[in-house]
Amino acid sequence: MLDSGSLVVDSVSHCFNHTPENHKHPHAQIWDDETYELGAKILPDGYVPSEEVFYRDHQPEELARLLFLESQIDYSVYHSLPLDDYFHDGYVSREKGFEFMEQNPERVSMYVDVNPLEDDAGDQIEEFAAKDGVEGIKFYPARYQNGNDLSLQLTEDAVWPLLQRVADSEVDTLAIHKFIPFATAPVRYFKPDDIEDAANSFPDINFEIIHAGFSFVEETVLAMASHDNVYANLENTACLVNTRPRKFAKALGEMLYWAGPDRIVYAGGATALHPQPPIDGIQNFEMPEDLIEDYDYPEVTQDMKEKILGKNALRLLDKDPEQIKKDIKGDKWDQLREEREESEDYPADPWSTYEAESALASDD
Amino acid sequence: MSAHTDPYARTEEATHVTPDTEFDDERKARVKAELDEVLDPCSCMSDHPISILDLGLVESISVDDRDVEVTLLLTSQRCTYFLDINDEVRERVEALDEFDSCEVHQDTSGQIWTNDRMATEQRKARRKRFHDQMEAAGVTPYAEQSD
Repeated sequence: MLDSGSLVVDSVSHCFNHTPENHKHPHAQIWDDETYELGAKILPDGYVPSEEVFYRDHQPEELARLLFLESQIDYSVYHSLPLDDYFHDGYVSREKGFEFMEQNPERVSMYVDVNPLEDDAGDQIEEFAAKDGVEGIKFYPARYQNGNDLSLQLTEDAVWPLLQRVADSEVDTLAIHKFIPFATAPVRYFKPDDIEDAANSFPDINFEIIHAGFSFVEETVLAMASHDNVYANLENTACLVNTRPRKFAKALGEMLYWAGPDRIVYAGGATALHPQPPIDGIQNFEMPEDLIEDYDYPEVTQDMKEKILGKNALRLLDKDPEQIKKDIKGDKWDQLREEREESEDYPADPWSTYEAESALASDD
Repeated sequence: MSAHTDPYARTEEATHVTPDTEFDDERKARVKAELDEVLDPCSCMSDHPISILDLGLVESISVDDRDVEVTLLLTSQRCTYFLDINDEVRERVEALDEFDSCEVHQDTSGQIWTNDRMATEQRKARRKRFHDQMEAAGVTPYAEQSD
């Protein structure tokens, strides 16, 4: 929670499984290593986890401690991932997501991954969307199958009919990974060009574009400015506020200038990333004077920051902030936070709630 | 509206090879001209093909007697089109009379491609297309909407 009393909502968390036993494809180790290296590049000093912390099968209890004791996050949306071409459990399993939600029903919602190429993908959407706590479906823009990289843009024949299934289901939101290329899939699969057609044809679905602002900023703001049902999810991008602040300022400035502050949501990206630095960074962020002068970017007000850090996400989830505050008041995490506040140990030191000999990466 | 200017325009002098780069060695200039003919494969799938020179992929050109080395900084370190780009660069440069061989290297120094590496004219054209698209979509910038 922010000092103002406004809730902090994390729009993406994961329980990654970075163990060798989870590898299904020769490139899986590269995925693991690149995910680690990305964190090392975009997290500030003192927040990069040790390899002992990172390279494990992260469990719901560990994720909960990371979010609720090491950061100001009050509520989180767990995304399972459909990368079962590379990892036996998809990299971030559904099972752990449901377990995480069961353990923390007042603090967690879930977006469930679906592979559009499976014969029963439409039925899976209907089935998962009907489950308590599931608020969205998650797609990826490419798959690796039988030695080929397959494009899964929303506009393709394999995917388009599923958008109607989402529209007919009990969830309102479809999240799509974009902007950060992976494995051997061509970069063009990660452009958001397909979002506009989908948002136009399915106005009742909210399209939440993950990693917005990381690249293809102009294409992203075009989709956002011309469609009220397109949201920018700042997973990973939010970290740039600390480590590449000019890039972050321009991306946020373009979004605010063209599309306004109501459809931008913060995400911490745990367990790959530590979620607290971008919360601090956004709270302390000021749009540089020269960017305001040269490009008409707005000042980033406290009201905008509260929207980005929580209010927008709660509106997207159709949750009442006051009800959430009542629901979590006095729960296990609230009590633990209070205890730690008394001993001036909240938020806890980065990765200190993990069982490990060393929490942080060495300076080498 | 001042946002018509391009926030991604280059504000510092380029350290890579751009269309404006001038070489004392005329042979390097000829290599540069050939690189301007090599189109970025991804852009060929859009309506606006762009050369690897205009896109800002050319980190350096070096000439040693009759041998050329071209270093490229790709938009993605794992760009699957590197082999195609490599083949076309080699084919074009080795076809020049003054050279025997051309090697193409990928820059792995850790620096990343950013869109301010694009040629100034290409950036301007891209920004104009962006504004044209906004106008065609009937978008009034949120910041300019009256309350």
